[in-house]
Amino acid sequence: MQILMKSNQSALKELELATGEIVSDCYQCGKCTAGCPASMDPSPSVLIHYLKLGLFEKAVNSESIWSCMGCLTCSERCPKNVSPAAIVEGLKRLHLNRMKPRVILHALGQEFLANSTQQAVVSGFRKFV
Amino acid sequence: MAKIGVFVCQCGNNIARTVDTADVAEKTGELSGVAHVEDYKFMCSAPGQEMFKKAIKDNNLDGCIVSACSPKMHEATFRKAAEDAGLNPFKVEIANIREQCSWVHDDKEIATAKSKDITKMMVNRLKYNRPLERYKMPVTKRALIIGGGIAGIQAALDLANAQIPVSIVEREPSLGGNMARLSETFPTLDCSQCILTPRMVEVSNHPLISIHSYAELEKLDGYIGNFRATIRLKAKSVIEKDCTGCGECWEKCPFTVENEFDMGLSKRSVIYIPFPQAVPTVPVIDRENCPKFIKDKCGLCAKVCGQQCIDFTQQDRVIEEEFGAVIVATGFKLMPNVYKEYGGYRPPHMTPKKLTAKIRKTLPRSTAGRLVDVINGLEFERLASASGPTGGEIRRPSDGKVPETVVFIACVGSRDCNKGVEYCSKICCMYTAKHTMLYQHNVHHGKSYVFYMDIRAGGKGYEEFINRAQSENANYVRGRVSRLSKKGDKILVKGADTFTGHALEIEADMVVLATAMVPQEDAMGVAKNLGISYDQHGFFSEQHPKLMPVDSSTGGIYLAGACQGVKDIPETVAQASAAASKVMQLFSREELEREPEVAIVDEKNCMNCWDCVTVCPYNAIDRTEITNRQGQFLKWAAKVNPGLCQGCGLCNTVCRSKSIELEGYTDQQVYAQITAFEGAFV
Repeated sequence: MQILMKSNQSALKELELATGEIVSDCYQCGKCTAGCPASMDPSPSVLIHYLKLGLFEKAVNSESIWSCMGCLTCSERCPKNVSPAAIVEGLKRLHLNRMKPRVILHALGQEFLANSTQQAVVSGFRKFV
Repeated sequence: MAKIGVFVCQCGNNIARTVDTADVAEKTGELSGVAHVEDYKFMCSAPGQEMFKKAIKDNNLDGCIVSACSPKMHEATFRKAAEDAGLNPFKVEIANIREQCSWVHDDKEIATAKSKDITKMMVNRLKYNRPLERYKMPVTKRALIIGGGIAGIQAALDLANAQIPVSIVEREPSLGGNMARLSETFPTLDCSQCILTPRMVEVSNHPLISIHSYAELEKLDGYIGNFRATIRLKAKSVIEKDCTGCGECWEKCPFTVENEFDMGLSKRSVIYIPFPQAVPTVPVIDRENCPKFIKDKCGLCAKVCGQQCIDFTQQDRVIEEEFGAVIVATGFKLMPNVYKEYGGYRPPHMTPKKLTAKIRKTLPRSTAGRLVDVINGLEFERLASASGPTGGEIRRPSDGKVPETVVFIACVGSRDCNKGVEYCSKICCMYTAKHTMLYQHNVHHGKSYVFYMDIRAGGKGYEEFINRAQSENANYVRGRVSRLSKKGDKILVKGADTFTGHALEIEADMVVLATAMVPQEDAMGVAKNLGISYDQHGFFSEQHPKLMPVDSSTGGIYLAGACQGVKDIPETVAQASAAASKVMQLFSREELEREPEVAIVDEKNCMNCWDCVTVCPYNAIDRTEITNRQGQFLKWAAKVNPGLCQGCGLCNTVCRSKSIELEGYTDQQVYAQITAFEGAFV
């Protein structure tokens, strides 16, 4: 596969504004990838590398962002004060902003919603919608 | 009536492009007191200076203004030329019409008007310039070296071989520093001690070098050429001149503590020399741990000593010596492992002394869930060293097994703005490559992995050395390690390979962290003591990063080695020699000349508020008693030591009775300069 270097500055700006992180700070040491308990694939450092290359669509559409549990191990250990967890969270948010939801809320059924903990349902949306 | 000459320089086109220099010269010539004007293309050229000298002689000028570039550039040139022509150099002033006028303006009219104003202001100021004489200072031709590592040793030898007497102050009982701990050195793999110890012996035998080991510098007073050092010689409890270094005492001593020289990997007796080749070979008693001093028991060493040179009653001695120059070579230490994810124990030798005993009781290295087999670079050096705790066999600290798999992690602490230091520690790439080689040479079937981010091998033969390490079966993995955890008797290394983007796990027997090089803990204290500046990490700052890399911010104090920034051995030695040659330059003169632009006190007006004493950053102001001719006390007054005064002018501004003035910048001069300002260009 040939990757064409292109800069998607507006999307990157939007992500950086949403997360407060500076993607260019990352120097690709891979400490986040090494410690990720969710074994994300593509891994956090690869996702950030996609962003640095301007391959925003590839990052935002990757399946692995949905396996991030937000344990913040990567952010805690990052030597450059970048928070990969925050970036992945931002990617999720931008994905949801742009994409059509995969779960239709009213199709879940009143009974299910009534019997579930409200907080669990809401936090479930963030991961599985 | 003053006879002032004004010389307007065109600086090729630099000034003439935006300033009509002929007009400036003409207008300035009309000012009162101006006797001669010139407008010339390059005043700083040889013909320009000749013209300058000739004009002074022919017109018998008593002051000169050169309207040209910044005084930083050519003030010295013209002052020298004036001196040659028989005019006091401090009667020459520069009016800066290049940096502060022609370069920053486009409009020729405005720039010309401004140039006229600047020149006029300087002319007015010059009328009040007093002829000043440079101070002459004697030089004490003795050098003090702080730190007896390789930098201190090299500087001491260079100076002593140039017939300059040298004193070395070393905190530890022996010279040698960190280099003595190393097993082999990159990129040639020659034995560190084999090249260091001959130098140490040379130092100890040199008639012009005196070694103050187990000593610390308490205070440094004075100024370039005339320092007075107060040195505390800690009590060794051994009479140095009688001791033969036979070793009877340290062999018989029944008490042991952790050996700092072996990074805590072995035990040493309480009366000890750090290592067999120690210079001087005189043991010291570690009073904090010796039962004789704690509960007045034992005293075996005194009984076995054939020379009767153990003296338990010895006290610290404080001596004062005079020096002309100081070389600071306090060296480095390794950053402690502060990473919880890397098993972050704090080795006892890196914990504050008070805590050491407590930690030794509560947290021996083999317990408390800490990863004992995670060691740092210097600990690996001791393991690999023939004189180390294992006699050169690489065995892991926990159970003494030969490690089959070793993981080396580069950039621990360095290049880490989160928990470590931001700079690159520079030597780790090289010593990690060396460690893999030492390990391969020692354990032939062993596997070694290096987790790295970038390999920085910019030195003579360095890249070749890395290639050699890689060809000798060291596996380089590009990525960082996230966590080290215990798995059975092994260490589970969770790392990543960023080329494939996958995490990977290795079960290792031992892990070596290439921790960052940081300055000594008390480096900032030393800097404050000496009055030199340091950066945010505690490394001492050089005067100019490129052109004055061995001068500290204070005259007469020079820097050598890793106390100034991370360095490998060749660079350290080069800098030490450079510092030594700077001292030789200083000592090549019988007298030092100092600029006379220092503060002077009007003793009549001084009202003893001592604000100037408080505010002076160079401790140049003292209190003095004023007496009449009969020697009766009249009053107190401030007194400036011209050797120390740097002419910063702080005392001048705080003085409430206006009794301190800065020579060359007196209130009268500055006032005259300001009142001449017409604001034509505003």
